[in-house]
Amino acid sequence: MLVNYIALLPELFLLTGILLMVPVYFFRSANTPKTFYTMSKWIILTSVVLTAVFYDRSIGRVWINNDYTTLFKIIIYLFSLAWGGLSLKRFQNRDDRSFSFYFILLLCLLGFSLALSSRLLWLSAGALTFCLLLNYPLLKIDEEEEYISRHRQYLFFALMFSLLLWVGVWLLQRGTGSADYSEIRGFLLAAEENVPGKLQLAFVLIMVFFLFALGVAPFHFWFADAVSGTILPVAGYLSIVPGVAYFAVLLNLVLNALDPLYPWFETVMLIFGISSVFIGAVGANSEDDLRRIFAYAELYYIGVLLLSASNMQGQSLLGSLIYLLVYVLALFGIYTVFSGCRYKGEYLYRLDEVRGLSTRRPLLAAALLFFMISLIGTPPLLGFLGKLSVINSLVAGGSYGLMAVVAFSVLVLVAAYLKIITAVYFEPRNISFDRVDKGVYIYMAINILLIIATILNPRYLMHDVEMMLAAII
Amino acid sequence: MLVNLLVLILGAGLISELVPKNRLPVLWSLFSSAAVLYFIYKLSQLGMSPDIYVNYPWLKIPNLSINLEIGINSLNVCLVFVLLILALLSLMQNTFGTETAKNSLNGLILFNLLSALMLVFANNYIQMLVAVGACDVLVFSTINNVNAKKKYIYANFLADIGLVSIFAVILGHGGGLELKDLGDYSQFGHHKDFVAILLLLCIFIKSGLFLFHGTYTDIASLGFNRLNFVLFAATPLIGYLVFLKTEALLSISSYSYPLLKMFSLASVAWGVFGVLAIDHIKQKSVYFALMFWGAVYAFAAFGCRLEILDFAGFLLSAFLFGQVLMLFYTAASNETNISEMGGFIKNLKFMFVLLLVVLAAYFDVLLSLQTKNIWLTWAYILLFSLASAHVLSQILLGESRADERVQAMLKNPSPALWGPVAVAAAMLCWHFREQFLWLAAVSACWLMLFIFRPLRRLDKWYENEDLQEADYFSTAYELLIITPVKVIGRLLWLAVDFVFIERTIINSVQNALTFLIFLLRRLHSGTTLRSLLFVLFGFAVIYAVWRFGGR
Amino acid sequence: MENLGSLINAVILIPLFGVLFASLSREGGRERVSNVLCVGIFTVLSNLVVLWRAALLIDLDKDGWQVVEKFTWIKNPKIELVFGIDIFSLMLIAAVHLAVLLGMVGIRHNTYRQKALIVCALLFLSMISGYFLASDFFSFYIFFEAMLLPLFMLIGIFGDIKKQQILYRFFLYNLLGAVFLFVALIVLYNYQNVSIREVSRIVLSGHGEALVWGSIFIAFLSRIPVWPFHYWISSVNVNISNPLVFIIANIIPLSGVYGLIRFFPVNAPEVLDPYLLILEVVSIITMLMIALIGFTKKDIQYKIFSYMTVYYILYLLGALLPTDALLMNIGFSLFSYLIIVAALEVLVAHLDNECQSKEIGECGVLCAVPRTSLMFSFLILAAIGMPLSSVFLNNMVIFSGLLKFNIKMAVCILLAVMLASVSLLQQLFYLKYPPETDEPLPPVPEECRAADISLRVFAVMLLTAALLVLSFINPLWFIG
Repeated sequence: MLVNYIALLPELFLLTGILLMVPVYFFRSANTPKTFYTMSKWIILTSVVLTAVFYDRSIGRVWINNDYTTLFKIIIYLFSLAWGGLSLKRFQNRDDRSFSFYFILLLCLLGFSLALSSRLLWLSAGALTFCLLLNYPLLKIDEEEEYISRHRQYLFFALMFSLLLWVGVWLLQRGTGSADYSEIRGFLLAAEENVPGKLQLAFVLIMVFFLFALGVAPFHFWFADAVSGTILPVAGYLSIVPGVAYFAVLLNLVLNALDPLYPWFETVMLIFGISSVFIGAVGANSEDDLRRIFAYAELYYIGVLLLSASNMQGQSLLGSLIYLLVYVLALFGIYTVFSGCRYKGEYLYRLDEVRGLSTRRPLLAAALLFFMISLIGTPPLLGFLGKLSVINSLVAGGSYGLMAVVAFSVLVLVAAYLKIITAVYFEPRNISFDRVDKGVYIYMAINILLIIATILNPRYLMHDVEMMLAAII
Repeated sequence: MLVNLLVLILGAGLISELVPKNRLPVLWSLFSSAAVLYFIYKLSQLGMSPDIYVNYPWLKIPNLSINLEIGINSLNVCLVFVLLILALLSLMQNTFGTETAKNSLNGLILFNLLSALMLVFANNYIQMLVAVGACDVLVFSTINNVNAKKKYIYANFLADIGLVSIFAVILGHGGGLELKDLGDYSQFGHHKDFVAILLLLCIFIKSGLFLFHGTYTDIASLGFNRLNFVLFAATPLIGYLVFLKTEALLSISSYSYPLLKMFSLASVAWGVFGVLAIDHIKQKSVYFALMFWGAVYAFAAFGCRLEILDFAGFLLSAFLFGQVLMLFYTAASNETNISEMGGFIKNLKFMFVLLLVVLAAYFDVLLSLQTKNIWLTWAYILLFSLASAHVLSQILLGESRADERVQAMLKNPSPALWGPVAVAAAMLCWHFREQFLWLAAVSACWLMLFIFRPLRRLDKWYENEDLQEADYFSTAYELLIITPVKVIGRLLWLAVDFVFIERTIINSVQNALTFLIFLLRRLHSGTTLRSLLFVLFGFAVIYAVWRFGGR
Repeated sequence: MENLGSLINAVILIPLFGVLFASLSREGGRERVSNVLCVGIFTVLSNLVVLWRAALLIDLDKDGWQVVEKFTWIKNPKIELVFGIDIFSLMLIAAVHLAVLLGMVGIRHNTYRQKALIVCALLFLSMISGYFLASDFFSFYIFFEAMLLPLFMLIGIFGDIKKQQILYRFFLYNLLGAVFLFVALIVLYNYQNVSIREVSRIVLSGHGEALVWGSIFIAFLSRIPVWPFHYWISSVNVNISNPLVFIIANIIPLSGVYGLIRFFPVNAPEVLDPYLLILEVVSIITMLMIALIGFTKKDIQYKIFSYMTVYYILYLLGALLPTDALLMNIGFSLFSYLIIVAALEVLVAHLDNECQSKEIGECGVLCAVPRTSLMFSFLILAAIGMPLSSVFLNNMVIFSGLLKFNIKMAVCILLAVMLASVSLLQQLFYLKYPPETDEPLPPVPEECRAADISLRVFAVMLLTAALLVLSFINPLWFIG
């Protein structure tokens, strides 16, 4: 039915908005940094509404919107919107052109949106490759000289892994004779044990791309450099949005198309998960740059996600999805605090720069503490719910060893957080801090309220996640 | 009535404690004395066979349901009387004596009287332990010298813990709470030797017997009245009351009585030595008390425990003797050394008469004990006579060495001070008057010893400073117990806390983390080559899993 | 008539409201009691009133939790938070409240970051009250771990020079313990979701049993100063001079003891018996060791730590006896013990502050301060077990249980108790009685004399003393 093409409306609207930004950038003389944020804001908000309205419209078997895709899209949109709002101040303060940032942000959202709903392998791969490569121009925004080579290195590896993805996609389409998820799955199920080695290789190449994009150890090497070598808006975006999107697409792809090839890969996921947990926890301790500390912390959380989701079973996935949402929410809070930590208009990233923050900006320091505790998984904050979900699913699945790894490795990670808390609360201040924008406080308050409301009544979160899972399992 | 009387004492005590320390001391002392006197009067109206028993439910905590029992009967009335009289005499002395913080001391005397009475009334050992503990706290407050306080509380606290442990053992083994049932413990009890020996040691500590007398030697720096009160009406007496209450427990061990004999006889002997060797008059008083308590326990050790009436008389007479020493000390303008006195008889004739009355009372009481154990009685009479005659002869007949000030001020104390002593001594003489001939003989012998002073050669001990200042037992405790404990504590801190935990466990964890960080930094150099190595490693892992099957 | 369930909720929530109000209150200047402190004191007093009402509604003759409040928190996995109360929990909550109240009185004139202090203290009160009321695995764990956060902040803010190291130790020991408990409880929950009292119903495999119960053991022991876990508490104690922080830090071991009391020994399987024996031996060695070190050290904070350690382990050993009969005695004793230590710490902090600000030595400092001296002496005598509080008789009952169980061990325990008490007495003499000299010392100028506690603090201390004596005369006085 032609009317089903209405399912594409959010993406079409995004595309239109992106296209509209170009003439505005080139032909409108009165552009300010806020212009592009305002445009992005309305584009994203409208897309959110459209996504929610047409949440169950599908176009045959190639474009499917369901609870899973809709909720993930909304989450990605909302986080992007919020982060975009917080980033605006950075551009306003410097009177910088914000076009590049918001333009690429919308492009990435479009890419992720396509990758989530599309059931055509080449389309998803194209969208994901596009998003991965778009990180490069993002990193180039106000690039510092010392990071130029690192960013080029990122481009090199991004191209390499994109190539691997495309090789994998090509091999898979050739081997199965289709690009459609369900047909690929049908073929693989029919082949049972006699899956050709080429398809296994294709599967590996596709998975490797996702692992690289997620920054899972040992393909993690680019992430900390990328996050620390760029401006705060980009660092925040890279830390919050792509992780959620790639993980959502990965689950979608594996569960709907590649699950017959997956079982042997579980061990790889476990090894990579444990490596990530280990490197993330130790790495966070080795750094003094707040962005790098949290980049490694994120590696830890991604590792836990992999460990939890490795068997791709219902309860485990439930645990991992809850964990994902909970930690992203807290991480967003952390970056919100970073956007409030400024001195003479410059963002403060180093540990010694935020010393004594609590004496001058107690609310900011309290929020940082609040979010970090949530990230540690200490009750009664929301992180506990994530930790509980993951550990409970591991125990329920009989994975006691993994449970021990997850539970005890957090102690090493906490040592890194301890350094931050010590600097912020227990050390004397050596600089004064700029006034914090009201927007930062508003975002912090909303985030905190959301966390508190969720911890007091987690049923809504659990219900949504169950709905999401039900849509893809 | 009894409860009202106890409340009266409590009230009087509280008032004494709450009024300023030195505000109208005579008035408040007389008020306190009047309260005690009224108690004695009301009690005397009941005669020697009263029968009052009051029982209040007190504690209902799990495993410990206790009643507070107050009762006077023919068995304990004498003890009650003597406690009251001792308190009264102390209060009277305090009224006109030279004590500091009189009101406070009055209060403490009254509270101590109450706790001692509660101990006398106790039929269960919880009440007994509470009374013992309360008495310890009160005496601790009564002693106003630092070193004495220290020794007192350390020793008595240990004794209290010991007592608590003993009754905890009994309670744990289902021994019940009643004191009258303690005798049954021999049938079902465990750790009998432990219980009996620990009990004896605790009693010895409380009564300050040989080896534990160091607890009381330092209280010689207290006011004399305070000193006498502590020595005869407080903790040592409490120790003996505990002994009376728990004697049934001693029979469960074969070690009890030999131990008791050993310690009691050693106490008497050491007391005699102390009296003869030490120059300080208050310390002499302490050693006289040691002799007395040694004798009391010796009677019990040899199977002839004193009847309550005899004990009451003996205690009162010993106390009065102590008061006489105090009066000599007061008359000599608080001169502390016997060797610095001498020839006081000229000025203190009346005091000499008082001394004879008190000694007559003492000997009367002692002679009445012949029926218990003649050898012990006479041995004690002999030793006491030798010691007391030696000391008093030096004071009254010895060569005068007193300085001019003392000599000039020498006079009989006021009747307010000696009056109560004389009355009490006279009453004792009257009450124990039965063996007049023996009394005359003993008194004559004592006078002979007093006049001829056969042990005068021992006077040279007074000049031996080492002996006078020696504190053998404290030194031994310090060297044998406290120093090793301190050394072990220090070593443990160094070895276990500092070296093992701080330097080994905690530093190892920190070093391990530092090493891992170092390793990670080396791996993450940021070069393309290193990154490629990571990628290759990832692929190698995937290949290995693929090759070797995975799950 | 109030509903006991609502009162239970109120006990947890009132301090949280206090936190809210305290955060919005004004901090005071020097020599002025600040609004934030008033909020703190008022909150604690309000909660004490609620506790008293709850106590009146409790049926003393009924065993087990008196009332159970259930909240379904998550449906998948099904997690219900269950709260209940019994007289034991109630006594501990009351004692903790009173101890914190005393701590608040002790910081009246200490204006350094008072708001942070009060906020954290109230947060801690809420968490520890929740912990004592928790009846299911998850609420038990949630409050077990959550109470660490305020303490962590307090140590960080009010710790002395070495606070970095202390925080590291604090985190290492406590979070490790919390992780062990979490893991064990999740495993137990996956076998069977029951209340804590029914935990013995869960049947695990042989190895599983040892691992799970072993983890629970370690979790609780990490809070109790049993070797080698004692180290973090000793480090905290000697580096904290703020009385309220000191008191809160010393309540943490109580959570470990309470945890063991709730889980052991009647609930523990027989497979743990050999481990229990090892624990008992290690505990006794720790007791003796800490008592000996306390005897040697001159620092009063360490002496108080040594005393607290010995007593906590005493209660722990009492709780580990294979009977529940001593539970109430432990409760009664703990009640007085916590109050005594809190009051003592307030006085020690006052003296310490006076000595430092006036640059005078500690020796004999009590001579010039009669009110402090009186209360200090009273508290020391009560602490060492003189019949001035419920410690005296209830400790005797605990001793009787221990002596019956194993007399050799019990004698060692008694030795440790004696040593720890003698250490306190030593300190009393050191502070109260300077060595006597032959010649009178010249009079000390007024400005070099330590100031006495104010009349208000003295009145609070007298009330505390009265409360302690009352607890001796009738431990359940508050319910008539």
